[in-house]
Amino acid sequence: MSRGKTKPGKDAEKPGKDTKKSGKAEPKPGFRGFSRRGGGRASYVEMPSEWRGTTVQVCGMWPFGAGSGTPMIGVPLGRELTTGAALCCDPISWFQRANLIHNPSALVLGKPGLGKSTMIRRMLLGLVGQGVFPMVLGDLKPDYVDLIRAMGGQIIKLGRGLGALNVLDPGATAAAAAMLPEQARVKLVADAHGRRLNMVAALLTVLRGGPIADTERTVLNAALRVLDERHPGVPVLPDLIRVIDEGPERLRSVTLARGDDARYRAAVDPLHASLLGVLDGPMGEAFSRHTTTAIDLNNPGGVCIDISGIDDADAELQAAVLLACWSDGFGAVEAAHALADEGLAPRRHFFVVLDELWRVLRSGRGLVDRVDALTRLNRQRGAGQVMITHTMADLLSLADQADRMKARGFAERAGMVICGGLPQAEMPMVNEVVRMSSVEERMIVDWSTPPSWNPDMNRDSEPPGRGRFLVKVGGRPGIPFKVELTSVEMEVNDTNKRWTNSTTMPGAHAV
Amino acid sequence: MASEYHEPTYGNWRKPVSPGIGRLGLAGTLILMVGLIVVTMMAMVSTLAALISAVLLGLAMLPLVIQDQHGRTALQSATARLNWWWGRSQGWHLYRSGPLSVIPFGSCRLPGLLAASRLVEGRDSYGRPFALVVIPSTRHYTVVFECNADGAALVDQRQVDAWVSHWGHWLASLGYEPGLVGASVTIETAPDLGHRLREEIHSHTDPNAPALARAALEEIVWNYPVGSARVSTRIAVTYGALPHAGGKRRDQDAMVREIGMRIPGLISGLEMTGAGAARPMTAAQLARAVRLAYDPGAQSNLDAAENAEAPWEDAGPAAAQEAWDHYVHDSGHSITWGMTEAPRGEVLSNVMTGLVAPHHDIARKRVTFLYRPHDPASAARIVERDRKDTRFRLDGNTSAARNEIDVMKSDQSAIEEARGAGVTRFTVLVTATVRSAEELSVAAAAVDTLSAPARLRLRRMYGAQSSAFAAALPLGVVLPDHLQVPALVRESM
Repeated sequence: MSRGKTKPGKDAEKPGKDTKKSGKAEPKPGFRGFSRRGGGRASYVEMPSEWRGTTVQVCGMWPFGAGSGTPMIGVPLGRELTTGAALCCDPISWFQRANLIHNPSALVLGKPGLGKSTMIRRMLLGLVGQGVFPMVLGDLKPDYVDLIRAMGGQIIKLGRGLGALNVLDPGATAAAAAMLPEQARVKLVADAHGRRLNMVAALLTVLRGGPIADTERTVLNAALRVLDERHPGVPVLPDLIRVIDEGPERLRSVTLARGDDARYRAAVDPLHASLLGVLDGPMGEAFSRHTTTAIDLNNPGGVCIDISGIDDADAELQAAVLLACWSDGFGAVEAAHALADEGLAPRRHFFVVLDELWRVLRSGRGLVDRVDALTRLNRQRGAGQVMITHTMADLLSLADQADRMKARGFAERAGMVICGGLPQAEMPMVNEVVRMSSVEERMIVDWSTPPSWNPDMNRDSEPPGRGRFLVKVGGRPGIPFKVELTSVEMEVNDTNKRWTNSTTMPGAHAV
Repeated sequence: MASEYHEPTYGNWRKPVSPGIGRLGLAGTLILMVGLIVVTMMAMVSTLAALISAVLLGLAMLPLVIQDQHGRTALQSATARLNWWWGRSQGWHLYRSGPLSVIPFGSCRLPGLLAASRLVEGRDSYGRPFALVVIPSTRHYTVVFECNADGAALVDQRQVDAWVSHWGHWLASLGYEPGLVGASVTIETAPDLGHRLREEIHSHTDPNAPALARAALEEIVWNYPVGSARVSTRIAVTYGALPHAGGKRRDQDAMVREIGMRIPGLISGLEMTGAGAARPMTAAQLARAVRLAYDPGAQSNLDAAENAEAPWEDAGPAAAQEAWDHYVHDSGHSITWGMTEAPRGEVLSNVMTGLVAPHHDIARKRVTFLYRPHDPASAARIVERDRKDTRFRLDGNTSAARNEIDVMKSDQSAIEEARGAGVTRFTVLVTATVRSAEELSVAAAAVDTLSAPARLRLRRMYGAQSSAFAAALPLGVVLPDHLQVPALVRESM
């Protein structure tokens, strides 16, 4: 235990020629060191003047005013504003290796044009460097397409005349299920079934602008099961409609038709009509055909689903496509995990980017539930997710009280909240979810102020909050940092113009 | 409610003085008294003899009366000069370690006060390993905690107030620790060479990752660390082998056990003080920290080899040379200052923040707050004695408003003590380390500018640079216990 003790003979490689030569015993350090020339004895010791006080006063000379910095674990996002030290932070590493957060998810808030997506791109780039598979599920701008393409990832284009996503396609799940043993397969298939049901319900919710009735959900559930049994290969939406139209016995029994065709029709007709509406409306093209390109998980560059082809005016379609992307993506993650659990494939980590959360939530009542059901699935399982929205008001201004509470849950459950510049009006709402000190509030509000006029340059100067963010984990003091781009990123960033150009972007005011 | 809030201020600390006439302390007054009696007796025999002895007495008193701006008497200055000169003539200001030196086994032991020190390892009640620094000559055992302070930059003042008051509680609780002789807080700022970042990125980069991601990360490794600083916060708590005066001396094993049991309590007390999560430092961490302090140039190697063995015997410098006003050790040049005057008047709790924060002109800076708490019994005695002393002065010199304020202040201290606060002695040491002799003047200027907003009066520890340097390390060197003049004499000067 006392390895510090220096007893003769303990040190194996003692040269000891000096001491031997002098013929004396080992020199022992005295009270103040070795008392010989070159011994370094302290010749004079002085105590600086001591002062005296009661501890309730002396504590005022509080020594801990300077922070010690953050753990160096994760993707280097930028420099801390106070110390200039590199900040390493990403939901996956902070959850998995640093144990700093409770679940691997992050919520990003911030006014448009302040570099939210630039920061996420850095996080994504860093995680890809760590071997994490990135999934950008729905890129509206497009913000991420260039980066994913530059990394050799897969770009899936969806939209009118571009590509379709079959909501009834089990996707990667089917292939995975075939390889799995009985028990795991049953679970995976059940999950896939639930996801499909959820997705069809979500489409109807978007179309109607309100939640679907429970009886309709039951009919859909039964119809999907019938479809699974009957239909060889991958079904599409028209197949589902056909099943409902035909009305096999199992469907009839859940509608309590009791052999009466009129009663059956009365029960399923609204559903039938809505489904036909999906086919016929703007969504038909996107969802009623077979999936044009499936997500490929074997490409280390990741996948980006580019839905920028959908017009901003087509809000319903955007929301529906976003939801479908998320569903499809999470399904693929689930399948990969199921394989890894059985040891059939190496364990992989996924980083899922859910951009423009507000577009989905705004599209209709009841969609919060659908998003909730989607995003809860993989909470603890090797998939980190980051949700991006502009303001808390996006989440909290939903018409329905229950929806508002659930939307707030998104923010509350997020392991970390990363805030860019936000207007003053936002602060009370943000404060409900993460406690901000007045200094932090002021900082965030200052970041949201517009840039000063710059008459010399014919355009406004850089806004104060560009690239600046505050990481909040629980009630701990936030970590303010600034993203600094590398030259490699500059080249890739097609949206680079946003860093040097004006703050206002098209679409930013559509909020 | 918010408008009623007033940020608390702190102050009312005093320099302990022993009662006496004018600037003289108790000892000086006694010498003066005895001298005067002798002179009077001389006068009965011969006027000339009386005159001569009066002059001699005056000359003898002169070193005690003359003070510089820092309150040091001529006697102290002369002692420092003489000691320094003697040490230098003996060649003690030089230190050479390693195979060709006088040091046993060719190791690089620490110089000076820490030469005989050793490390003992133990495990606390929670099974965490910790190291104790043992200084055999004073029988002091020091445990060092590494803390992770959040910093006050983004925190509401009320939160800071809460932290500060808990810090006061912790300091007060030290008074109740049996056998505790001192505590210190060391805030060290050092440049971040980016080894941690490099290690983090390189060890987690996937070789199969796309070239773009790897290129970007590689660029970050080289760009980000430039100009950034690391702040480390360490708290050292020193226990003596005697649990109390006249108690039975405890041996090393007993001390390891005893301190091991106290560590969880000390740490939990620190939780709300703003020091953040504290954990005891292990032997390797401690040796590494000390090695870095003496040889800042080794930071690159030490950072790179995070888990390498670091023996305490080799933590010292290979060569060091003490000068009157600075200290050269391996790759560093250092100056250490000591506090001569605590912040004047009332201060806010952020008064020290500027001093402890990183400064770009000083490569490495250590600010060490040294505390020597009084045990509760003597605390009560001291504040009461202060009250009596100030009242005594008020009676003798009714006109001075300063004395009246002194009375009020000593009353306040007594009330605070009675309400449960502890009484502690404190001082501050500041060490600035730079890489070359030319940068010393810049660093000195920087410390001057830093000490002004902290409202501290600092004085270079002339002639005592090596020992002051050692005391500013987070190793719990309690300087007063290393002095040759007994405490009783010192305090009455």
